[in-house]
Amino acid sequence: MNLLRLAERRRAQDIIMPYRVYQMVLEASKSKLLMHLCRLCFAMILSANLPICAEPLDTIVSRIHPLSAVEVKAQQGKTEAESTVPVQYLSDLQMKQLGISDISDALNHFSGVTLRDYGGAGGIKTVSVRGMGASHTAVSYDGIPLSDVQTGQVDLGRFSVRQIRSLGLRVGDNFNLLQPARSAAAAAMVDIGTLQGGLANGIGHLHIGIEQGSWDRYGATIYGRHRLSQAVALSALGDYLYSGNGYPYTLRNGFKTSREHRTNSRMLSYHGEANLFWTPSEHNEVTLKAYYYDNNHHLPGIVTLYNPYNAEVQHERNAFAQGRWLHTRMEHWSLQILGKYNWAQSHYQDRRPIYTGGRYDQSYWQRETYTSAVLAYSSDTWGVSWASDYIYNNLNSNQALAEDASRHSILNSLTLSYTPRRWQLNARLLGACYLNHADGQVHARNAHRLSPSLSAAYRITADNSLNIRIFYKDIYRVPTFTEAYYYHLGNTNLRPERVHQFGAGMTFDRYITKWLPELKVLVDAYSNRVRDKITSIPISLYTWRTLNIGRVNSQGLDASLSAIAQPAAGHRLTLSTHYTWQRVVDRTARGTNVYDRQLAYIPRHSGSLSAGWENPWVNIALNTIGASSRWGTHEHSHGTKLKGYMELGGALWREIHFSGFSAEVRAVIHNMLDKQYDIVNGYPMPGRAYLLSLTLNL
Amino acid sequence: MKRFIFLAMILASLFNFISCSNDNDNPTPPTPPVAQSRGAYIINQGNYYSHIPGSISYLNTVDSTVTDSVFLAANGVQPGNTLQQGLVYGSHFYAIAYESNVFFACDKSSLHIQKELQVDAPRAMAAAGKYIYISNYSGTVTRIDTTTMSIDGTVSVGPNPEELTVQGDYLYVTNSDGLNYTKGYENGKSVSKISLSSFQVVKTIPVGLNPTKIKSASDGNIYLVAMGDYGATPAKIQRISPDDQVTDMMEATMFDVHGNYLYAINSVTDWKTYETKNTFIKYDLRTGTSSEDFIFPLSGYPIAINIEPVSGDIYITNFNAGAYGADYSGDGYVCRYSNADGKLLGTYKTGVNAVQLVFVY
Repeated sequence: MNLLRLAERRRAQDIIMPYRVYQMVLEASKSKLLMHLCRLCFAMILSANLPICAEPLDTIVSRIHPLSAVEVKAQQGKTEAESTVPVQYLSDLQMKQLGISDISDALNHFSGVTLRDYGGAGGIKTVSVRGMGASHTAVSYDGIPLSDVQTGQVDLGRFSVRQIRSLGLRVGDNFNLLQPARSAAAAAMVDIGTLQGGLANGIGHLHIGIEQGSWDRYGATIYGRHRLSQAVALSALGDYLYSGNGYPYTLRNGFKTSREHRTNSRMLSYHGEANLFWTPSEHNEVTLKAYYYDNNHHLPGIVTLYNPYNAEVQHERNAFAQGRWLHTRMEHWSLQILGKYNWAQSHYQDRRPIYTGGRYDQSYWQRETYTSAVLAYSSDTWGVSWASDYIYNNLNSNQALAEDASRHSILNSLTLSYTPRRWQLNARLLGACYLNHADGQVHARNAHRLSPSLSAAYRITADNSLNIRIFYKDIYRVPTFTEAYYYHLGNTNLRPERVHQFGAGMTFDRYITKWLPELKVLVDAYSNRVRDKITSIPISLYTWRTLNIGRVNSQGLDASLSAIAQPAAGHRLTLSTHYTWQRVVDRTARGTNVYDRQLAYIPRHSGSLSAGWENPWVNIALNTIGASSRWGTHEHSHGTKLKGYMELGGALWREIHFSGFSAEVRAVIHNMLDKQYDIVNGYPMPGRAYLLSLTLNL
Repeated sequence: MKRFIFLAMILASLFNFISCSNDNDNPTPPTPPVAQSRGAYIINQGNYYSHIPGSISYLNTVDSTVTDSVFLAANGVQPGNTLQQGLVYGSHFYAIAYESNVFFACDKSSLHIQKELQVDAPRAMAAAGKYIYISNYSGTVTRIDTTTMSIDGTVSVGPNPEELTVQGDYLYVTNSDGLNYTKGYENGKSVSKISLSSFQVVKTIPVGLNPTKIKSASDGNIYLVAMGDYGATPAKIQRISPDDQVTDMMEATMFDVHGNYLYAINSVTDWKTYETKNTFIKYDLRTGTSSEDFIFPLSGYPIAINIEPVSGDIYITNFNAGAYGADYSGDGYVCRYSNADGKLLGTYKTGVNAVQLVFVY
């Protein structure tokens, strides 16, 4: 009986987030879903070491992979409009101007994104892009990928916008010549660039931010940077967040409603990191990072009638050290070496008397060793690069998973880039080989594949303001360790999941007049086909198994418009809006009750609108996000439809300059109209909430 | 259609009656000389993680109509998440919901709530004398005094107890240790025998792996399913005799008993093809003989089997087919078969995950 329940749970979670599924699900019983947390909403964003407001944005590439004094020809930047594949980008400054104070707000301002959010600080947040499932979205942190071989998904809820200098989303292959092969393997990539100063921007900088918000929320960030010499700089970043998260919601039971509060929901997280920037010569640049993250939180669980109590807790810890050496030579050649060692622990407990000993313990430890080397040659019109990556992952746990499962991944990519006259043509061939091992049992099937990707863009106007683009990418996702090994559910015989990704679009981006220095319009259409989808299915009433049987087709349209207006000195208006239409349907077997139906939790229509007015008095921003109705089940079962929603937020802020330092005071209101909605069925989102913050820049 | 079913039932009854009176060796059980049951409450468990609460439907077995959500209609509220079981006893209908930790005592006919109690992870119910007994997944059995509708005692049993049944002066509770599946259910594999008079465990009877369902029969024996581990160890039905001797009977995953017969379904999964085959078994408790073609073919996704105690009609609840396997979040259906010849008498809609039919007169 309990297995069935677990399977049901797994299934529900699968729908929510296919990868995390197994982990949570099976894991018996109370889900791990709730696991991660850290919802850090932030209002503050620094200003002191940011680019001047009125200037155009830095290029995406330089922001995502911060360039240094070393000139890297191979990495010539492309803006959102110039890229041959859809790239979206938000700087900390833009986030401030648009009133974005939370990582989920920021992600909701990207087109083509479906965010899974369990509500409150403590709810996991994952992103699926263009209907492909969150396991296809990779996340990189200061240029080096994060990973989770257990579930295949990275929780974005752990990142606070306070620590983010830039947030980017790339769909398809960006053809950066210095891109590691591993990054090229993902269908979409979220790039997080943290506060970093490098060697630029003066000798020292100290940034201190504190915040206080609804439901006992307290946060603090401290960031310091010091240049030791012309060649060496150090920086450190620390971040703390506590939230009680006991927010109210309306519980509907039949025809009766009552006002309840979330319980067992408090969380405490902190993270610290140190960075070293070293430029020993004009041709060499080294960056090193040491990182630690700790998040202890209680999980409120799915809303249950008559029973507000839950006893799940989750403790996540992650430590890594990573380094990058970039060497350029003879103007045309570049060599990049990356290295990383990652350790992560996930400890889940359900403290209920139904378990022997009064608690259920579930611990996972995973380690990763990663190295990458990229050699690139570029001239004015063409470039070529070869990237070789090697990754070793292993996972052990106290669960009935493999005793000690490991995987060697070897990836090589060859990238060609040619830019004659008004054309940009790119091609990449990725060769991937995955070798598995499991102590004392059958290991997951090994896999290898050659995956091509192609893209082209054409400048219609000579000034580069109007472009058209098209791309194709073949994607190959190997099973997660949970999918391969989990008790009863796992299947070591799984093949990788394949995706064919097509996209085409048009971009317009230009300076119009002094009053309207920027007007940008991006329109992209896409079509994806997922084959051999890794899906857990009920084999009988009591048992589930993971098989390669799903097929999903998706079509979509992303449109965005952004503009900056400067009607008078000291006044600036910023507008950013996006709209996404997605048709993501099951195509596995004609005649079934899911065939041709929109997948669970993917809205047909979604969008956002943000507007900011900066002025000499108090700056103001308003933003709204919304989505049409969605289903909580692939079958569109009765009672599982989620209503569409629209949420309105606002921010007021003022920066005050003193001699030697500046201060920013900021007040944010989330969900101003106190709209109650769920993104994931049974997990109410918070209602109206305030957040006050004070930031000092010295 | 209704008329046809009615006619078929009359013919079936007549046949049983005649055959029974004429031939005592005929294995067809006697039809009691009383009227049809009035109906059945269908316990729809819902789907917790799809956020579908439990519900109760009412099946009128006389005119074959189904009314959805009768508990909601009577009380304005839902009966809870993961509705686990219902029980008709005396003038009351009782219901428990596992995730909601709730116990309801309702009027048997109107379903109006008369008492709501908080209980601890309730799994199953049984009744004897003035008491309702509830197994709690936390390893206890709670006794509720129906004269005061309050909890009046708790006794510890094995880990993760499932169903319980009364036979004579004793209560028998299956100890599954179901949450400890990664360690082979090692602390379960037993039935706790509780004295009704002292409300103490008097004996722990070793049984098969992962026991869940248990029922007492009119032959004085108790029958149970040891579900096994859903893998190498198959599910089997065992018999506990009045002197607490345990005997293996057959491989099966669910059953009910009625008169001199045990009716079982065995679901077996072929791990090469991932196909699950369901077999219906009719077993004569007196002779130990069984037949496998009494009801054939069975629908693909049976959930539970319940025999209507008066007519002996066999009710099997089912999931509908989903995209792959069963549809665990959609409405299901219940098939009603004649006890006489296994013919399908009717098919009725249920809610989501109909785990039980509770017959009410």
